[in-house]
Amino acid sequence: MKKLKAFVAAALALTLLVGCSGGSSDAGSNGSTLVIAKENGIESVDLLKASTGMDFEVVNAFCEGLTGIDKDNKVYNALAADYKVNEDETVYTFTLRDAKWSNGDPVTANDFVYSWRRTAQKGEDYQYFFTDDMACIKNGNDVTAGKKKPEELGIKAIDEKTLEITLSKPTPYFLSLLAFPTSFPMNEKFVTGLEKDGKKYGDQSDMANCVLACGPFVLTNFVQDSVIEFKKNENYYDADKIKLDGIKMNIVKNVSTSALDFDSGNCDITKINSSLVDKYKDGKTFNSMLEGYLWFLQYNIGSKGNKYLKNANIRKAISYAVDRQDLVDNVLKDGSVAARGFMPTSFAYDQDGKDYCDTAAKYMSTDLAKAQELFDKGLKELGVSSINLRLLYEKTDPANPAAEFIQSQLAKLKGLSIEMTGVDQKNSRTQKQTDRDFDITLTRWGPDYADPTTYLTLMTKGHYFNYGDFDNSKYDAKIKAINSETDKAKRWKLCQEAEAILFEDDQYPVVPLFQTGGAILIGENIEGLEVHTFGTPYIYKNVVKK
Amino acid sequence: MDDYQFLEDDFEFVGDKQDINIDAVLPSKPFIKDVWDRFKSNKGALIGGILILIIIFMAFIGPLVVDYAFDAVETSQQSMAPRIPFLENIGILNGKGGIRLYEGDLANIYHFFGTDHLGRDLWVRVWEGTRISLFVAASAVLIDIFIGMVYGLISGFFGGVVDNVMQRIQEIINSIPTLVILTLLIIVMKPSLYTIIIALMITGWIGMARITRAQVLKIKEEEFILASRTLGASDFFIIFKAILPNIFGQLITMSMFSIPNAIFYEAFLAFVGLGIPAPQASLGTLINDGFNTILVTPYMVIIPTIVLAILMLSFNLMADGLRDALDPTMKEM
Amino acid sequence: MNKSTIKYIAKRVLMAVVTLLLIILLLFALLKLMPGSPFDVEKLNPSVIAQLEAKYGLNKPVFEQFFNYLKGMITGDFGISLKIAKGMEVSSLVGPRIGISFAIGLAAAGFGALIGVALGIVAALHKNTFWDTFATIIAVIGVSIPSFVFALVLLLIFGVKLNILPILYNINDPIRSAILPTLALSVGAIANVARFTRTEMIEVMKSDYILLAEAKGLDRKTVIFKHAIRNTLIPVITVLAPIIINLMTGSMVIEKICSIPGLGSLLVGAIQGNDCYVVMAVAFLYSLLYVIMMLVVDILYGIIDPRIRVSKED
Repeated sequence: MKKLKAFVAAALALTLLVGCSGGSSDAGSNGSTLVIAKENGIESVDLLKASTGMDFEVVNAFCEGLTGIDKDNKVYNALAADYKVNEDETVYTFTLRDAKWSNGDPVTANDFVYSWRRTAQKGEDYQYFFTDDMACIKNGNDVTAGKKKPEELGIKAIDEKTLEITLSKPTPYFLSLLAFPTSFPMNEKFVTGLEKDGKKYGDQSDMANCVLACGPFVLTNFVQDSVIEFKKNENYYDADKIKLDGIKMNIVKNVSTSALDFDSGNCDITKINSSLVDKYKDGKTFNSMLEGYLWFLQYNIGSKGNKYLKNANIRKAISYAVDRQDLVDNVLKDGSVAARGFMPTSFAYDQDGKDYCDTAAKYMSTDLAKAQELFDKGLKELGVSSINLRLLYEKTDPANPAAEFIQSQLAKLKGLSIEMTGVDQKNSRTQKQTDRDFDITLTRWGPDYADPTTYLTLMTKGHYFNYGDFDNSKYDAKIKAINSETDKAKRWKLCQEAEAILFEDDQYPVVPLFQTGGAILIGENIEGLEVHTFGTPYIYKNVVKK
Repeated sequence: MDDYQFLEDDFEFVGDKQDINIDAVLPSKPFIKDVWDRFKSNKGALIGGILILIIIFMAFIGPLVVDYAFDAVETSQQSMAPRIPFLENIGILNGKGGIRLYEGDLANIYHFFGTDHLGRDLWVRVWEGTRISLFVAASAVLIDIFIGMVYGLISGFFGGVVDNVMQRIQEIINSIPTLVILTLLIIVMKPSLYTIIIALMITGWIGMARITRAQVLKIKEEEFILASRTLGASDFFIIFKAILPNIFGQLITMSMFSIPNAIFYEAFLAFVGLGIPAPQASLGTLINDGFNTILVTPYMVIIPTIVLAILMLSFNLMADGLRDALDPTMKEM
Repeated sequence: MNKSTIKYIAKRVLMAVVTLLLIILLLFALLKLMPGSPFDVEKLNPSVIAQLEAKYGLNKPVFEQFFNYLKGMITGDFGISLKIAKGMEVSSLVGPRIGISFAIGLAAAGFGALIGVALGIVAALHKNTFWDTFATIIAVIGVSIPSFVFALVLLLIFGVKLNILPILYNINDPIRSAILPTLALSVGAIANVARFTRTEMIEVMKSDYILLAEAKGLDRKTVIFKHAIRNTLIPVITVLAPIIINLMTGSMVIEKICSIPGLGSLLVGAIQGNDCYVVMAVAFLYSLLYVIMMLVVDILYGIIDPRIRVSKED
């Protein structure tokens, strides 16, 4: 009995203690610190390993590259003061501005050389940045494959402030790629110093002391899966223009929770999902942004493919059966737009500044009667009366609601039944795709750089991401022609011709559905958030909090 | 003393205890009838049983009384609030407050439980979901009882090395976090109704086995077992004739508690992404889907939660009643 | 403590160690069966994946991997994270989270046990009355409203409407910001403990020694507090043990909703990211806790109730 009494007393004491500590709540969103709720934590801020949108956002908050991309998707000089390019656009010479690292060291050409060689040699997800699939750096293919030494990579420091980069072929979108975090500099002395102390660059148990800033903010606090805090970097070359005192990113994995946090006034910016849109859509805080991801259905039509899907009429019928406008307006509701073809809008512009999608044909349309007609024709050709197809998708937003909607749309086709194969994560989906363990998959691709080829090359024969094993020699020839064409206008036209091949009557290897939107709540006193369809998704340096 | 007058309240009525003593010499009733009589006299249990029957009935009949299919997506009717004829006239469940309203072309339709974010009728989905949930839970629990009972009986009765080995095996299986087992299982197997039943079974039988064993350990020390053994009864006889009837009440009770737990666990599986494949639904997946929109359309989570709560309350009440009715030790005094 | 007790304890400890070894083996085997690798993100081609697997030794035979892992484990090296915190030592990921999950879990378990036992006893003593029904309904509501719904309602009321408690867990203000998740977590425990206590208490109240105590003329208070509750609490320990472990290892659901950087959210993230060494480490930690807890309960039980020990030693 005594023990029980003691226990009760202790419990009471604890309750009182809890009651007393009430006053010590922290500042919340006071001052001009921007408080953001983010759905996912970071995987790594080491340029070797950084690969998710969130990684890039964090890296971009404390670090910058030679160039940057402004709110209108125009390239500007960041750490580069100026650059020259040779006649055939393969050698770029950059002059660096007088920028400093947060420990006082100057940012030098060697910092870029060190970082690039390190990532090209040891990198993980974005090692391919240096290859001909992306930035086309000279010897990039061989260095990343381990066939050549990292010193042979086409980057060298002429002197402390002059950097020369050599490309393997003219790359029209090269300057925009220098805003991509994988290309950022690293301070060699700092990184090797850490390694000598047995630490790692970007060590998550002591992050504040294991990263060095050359961007608008300095990372001051990091707790994995909980919070990332920044304060303004006084050493930043453009420090005068930074209006925020700092940024606090709370990692909140449940969207309803972050919406509640926003309602309670402790949060300035949070993303919400389709189901919450109806609650906020008429308010002043609601914003919808266009993001870069294009979601599409891909058919498995190679040697391990589905025998029914090899019939082009069946493939086409499915495309005509899905009402994309209904999907984006009534199901997703987050600012997503219906796909026009195999290319998202607002990311690739021709030399006149016109959006690719404004000059290309519209391939996708909905017509249930036509779909049924095509489907019946297909069934007749196949000699069957009904078919069953598996639809692979991941159970995350927005794929989950989209897949359920697509299933219901396809159920309207008489003679077609859809078996839903939902996996709980992206990894499982890509794995099943790699194993060709699907009939139709709901998959996506986000552009890495501002050029149509980031999408078009996906469908070439033998490409790793050609999950459906689409094989069309005419198409492959077109892509080859694009890669060797130097005239910008002609190249642009070739891109559109290549896309047209995909949607010829007997092709349809993919069914583009929608380009993702982001429904975001932004406090009314916040201005200047930049959203990008490629590279770093959100940039905070020009945000003003009134 | 002779002239002592008895007053009316000198004697008190002694109460029912006497009657029960007399009961003992009444002609004996068959066990089942005995159980039924006792069960009937417990009002809570009776109400629980009736509610369960009603819910089971609704699970089969409910979807048939309206003209909607459980998977018919109609975005023009998405997220409509519940609307029930007659009740709407007194101001409740009148269809107000949803995203889409009962206006224009939709003025004369009724969705008793409203619709979900894709415009599917929730009345149909809730009852279909109830049916699936009950099926999953009942199958899992039946298998659990069978495996757990056999395991627990053997382990508890024989004791010694057998018990030791069996307990260690049980402990090892039990020491691996359920979520890890389930995820691995469901990744290895195709997500389906039967995978979920198996997943529930793999983790559920241990509880049954443990209860059975504990009961066996307790009972086998009792005098009537000793008596039985002294009279030369075989192990087989003792297990089935002496021990089993005595733990049967516990097992029935346990399974009645397990069914709602299994339903609930299935809901948890749905939360971690291992639910029934779409477009089918269970109460668990309905609650989870509804949870996403709880801040906008709370009825989507409230209705299936109420059905779940009623189911659980009924099973619990019935379990209590059944235990009292089945367990001979309850026939005290 | 006599010799047989020591022998009993030694035997149990040995058994626990063997159990743990077997669990590691089983976990490792299961993880290796798991399809997919941590590297198959959208933009990685097969040759790079092969390179990475070589780098992290994932291409070696399973047995070699297992022994390497076991060797590392003894020295406290649980491998590195391959996905959720790339390149970080698993121990540095798990370490700081243990305290957070343990503290919240223990608080929830303590609170839940206290309320649950009280509720159960009240219900049992007033069997088949209003109080009993009331306690049953509370218990059923506790079990049938999913904890995530309960948590969100709490956040809505205290965090937004009243605005007196923070919505997100804050590592710098661990007490205040843990109140709501603790409450939400304890609901399930209250319900379970209450049910079990009620059943046990009813059983105890019918036993011969209570009858004896009553026959001796002890007043009801003494009978209940001195005799009944004590004997009720012993079996309650058995249900409490798994509840405590479940709560201490962090509820995946509540941690996700209240944004708590604990073990549960780590495990979910790791499973979803196929981060095998992190899954291994957390799963092992769970198992370790469980085995230790069961060991303690067993030993305590053996000491309290010698019948169990005797029957095991035959």
